[in-house]
Formats: sequence, C-alpha cells, structure tokens
Amino acid sequence: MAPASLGGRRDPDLLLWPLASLALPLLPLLVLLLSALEGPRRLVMVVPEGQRVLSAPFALQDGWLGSPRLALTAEIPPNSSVALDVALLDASGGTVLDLTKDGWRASGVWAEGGESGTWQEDDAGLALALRPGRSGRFQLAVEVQDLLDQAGQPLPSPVLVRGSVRNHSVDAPLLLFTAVLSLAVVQVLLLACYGVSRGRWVQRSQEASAAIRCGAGGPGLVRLGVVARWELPHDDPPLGPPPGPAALELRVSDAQGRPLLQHREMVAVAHRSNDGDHWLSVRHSLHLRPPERGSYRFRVALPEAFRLDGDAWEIEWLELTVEDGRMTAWPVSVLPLAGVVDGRGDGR
Amino acid sequence: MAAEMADERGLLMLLAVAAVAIGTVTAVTRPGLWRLGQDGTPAAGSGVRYGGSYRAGRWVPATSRRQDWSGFQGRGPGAAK
Repeated sequence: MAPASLGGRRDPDLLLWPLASLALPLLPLLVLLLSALEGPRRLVMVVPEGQRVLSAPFALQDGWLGSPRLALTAEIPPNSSVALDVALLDASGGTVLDLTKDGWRASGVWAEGGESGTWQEDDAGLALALRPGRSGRFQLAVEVQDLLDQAGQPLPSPVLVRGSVRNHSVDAPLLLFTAVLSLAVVQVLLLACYGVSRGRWVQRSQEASAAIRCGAGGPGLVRLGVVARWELPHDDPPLGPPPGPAALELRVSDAQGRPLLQHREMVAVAHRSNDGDHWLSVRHSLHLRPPERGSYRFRVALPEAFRLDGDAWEIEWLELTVEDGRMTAWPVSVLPLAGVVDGRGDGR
Repeated sequence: MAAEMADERGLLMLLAVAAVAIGTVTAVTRPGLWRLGQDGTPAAGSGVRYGGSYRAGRWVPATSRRQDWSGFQGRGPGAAK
C-alpha cells in the first residue's frame, strides 16, 4: 500500500498499511455472525412416559464448513426429575448413538436480610456436537423414564421435548478468543507504528516557556507536544468565565542558532475542575519536517497569566515534548521550516 | 534502526494474521470433533450417560445401563437468586 497524501502526492510520513490490520479481529466475529444466521431445524416431540417417540427425519451434513450440533431440552414440571433416553437412528433405523440424560428442575422461595424472591434451577437439556462421517438422514428416538416429583412419586403428564439441529455450527468461544487475541496483537502493532519515535525529549518548566535542543530529522515527522497548566493563587472558585484562545509561539533554530521558523497560532484554553480544584489547561500538538538530520532548538511560549473578571490565573507549569521520527495514519498539518509564518491554527 | 522497526512491524502483522487464520480455521473445521464411528463417545454435558461406546467402528452397548439417579441436583436458592 503506497503512502499518499490527500492531494495524491506521495507522503513519506503516512503509514497506511497497519490500518488494514484493524479488519483482522472482525474476521472471526463475521464468521460467528454468519454461523448464527443459519436457521436451525426445529424438532418438537410430546413424549408420554414409557413410550418411544420418533422425531421427524433431519439431515446431518458432513464436511468442514462447521459441524452438526443437536440440542434437546425436556420441559418438565417444577420440582421434578426425569431420565430421558435418547437414541440417534440412521436412515435404516439402526441405533448409532444411545444415551440417557438425567434431568431435573427445581424452584422455591428465598429470604435473606429482609428481602425475598423466587429461584429456579434446571438441568434438563443436552447438546451433542459431532460429525456424522458421511451426510445422511437421521432421526431421534426419545423415551421418558421415571418422571418423578420431589417426593419420588411418578408424575402422569407427558413431557414436551424440543430439539434443534444445526449443520454448520462453529466453536464460538474459540472465535471470540481469536478476536480478542488478534485485537491485542493489532493494538501492539499500531502502537509500534504510530506510538513510537526514534528519539523523545521532555522539558518541564515552571515558567510559560520551554526549549529543547536535540538531534532530529530524517524519515518521519517531528512532533512537538505542548501541555500547560495555570492555577489561581487561592482555593476559591473562579469568578468569571474561562479566557478565550491563547497565543502559542514557536521558534525553531538550527545548529548555528539561525532562526528557521517563527510561528504563532491561537490555541484553545480549557477550564478544568476536580474535587474543588480549578485550573486552566492547554494541550496542543505541532508537526514539523526538518529538511535534514541535524541539531535543532525548539522553543515554545504561552502567556504567563490570564487576568479577567477578578481572576488572576498564573502559570503552574509547561511541558514541552519533542518526538522525532513519528509516522501518522492520516495527513496532518506540517509547519514549513523555511521562513516566518504567522497563522491561526492551520499552520500550513 | 528504521529497518529493525520495519521488521518488528512486519512480524507483528504476520503474528496477527496467523492468530486470526489459525483460530478461525480451527473454530470452523473443528479437527478434534468426535466423528460417528470413532472409538468412544462424543463429549456431552452434565447428567449424560451413554448406553455404550464405539469400538473398532461398531457400537457396543454397555452391559449395565441403568444407574442410581438421585433426582434433584440443584444447589438451592443461593446460586439462583
């Protein structure tokens, strides 16, 4: 995938191919969705005690696109138990599988700490996942044995047995695990592509300006991160509204101290408060593309204070971060290092 | 250093593709699933007793089928509310 800018020109700082990895965790989820769309074949049997009831014939398909799954649930009265004999018959009526499900259903009332309610538990269903060996028609033979109440007395009512047959079921837990695992790997990949830099320098100042001289340039962009905070000299809440945008000044000079860029733009000042504390903050990023690798000095400055409506916000700290060799997933505004620019936000 | 980063990114992409491919194909094809006629019986949930098992491709009924079934297995209201 060739990097390109919005104008169609190749942009060496754009790295698009890692974005394709975002589709990977969706693939197992898509398979799971497609599997869920398969409508199951429904089976309903009313089974009196002691009688063997055959289900309608159904097809079990062999193959590798999912696998057959049979599910049966016996609807028995509350506080009863049952032994359900189930046989899987092939097309000639021969038994190919024979099992007994010991099912039960219990319910009652609970009371604890002045609260009360009803509870219900049951285990009256079974599910079989298997491959038939070869595709063919099958039937289920179901017989109810020992439908008993809580006291062990026989219950006369017939049992309704509901079943479903699916031929393309998949391992849903494994698909979900695969989606989560691949998402974790993709996140690491995106971090390795867009979150790391060749070099990183941080300067924290108690004043409203900070400067860093470092070696930068080469493939990728230089990212300048500016974070600043102003506070009131007292703990009282502010009297007036937060100030408007503030002027951010950036100066870049080369190894000999010659100015390469003087840039000024207005940045938004946000009012924050938490647990009785109030402060103003600025968080802004700038991108540069040095013409060649060398030593550069980056200096940023913001207002020392804001005074309005009786509030005197004073600078608490300013933090400048310089990251060299950053790649981006989308086009960003890049400041030219050729002359003096006085812009408002765009910076192109 | 840039080449090392590129190698690392390619390896991570390969790892992600491999994880998705192996997990998805295994979940769909389920190579370990029991096949009719295979020795033994398929996995089943709780409370299931098979009346026999396959040996050498033939269904062999168990000699003693019925077992004592105590009925209720519920853990009571503590687990249900």
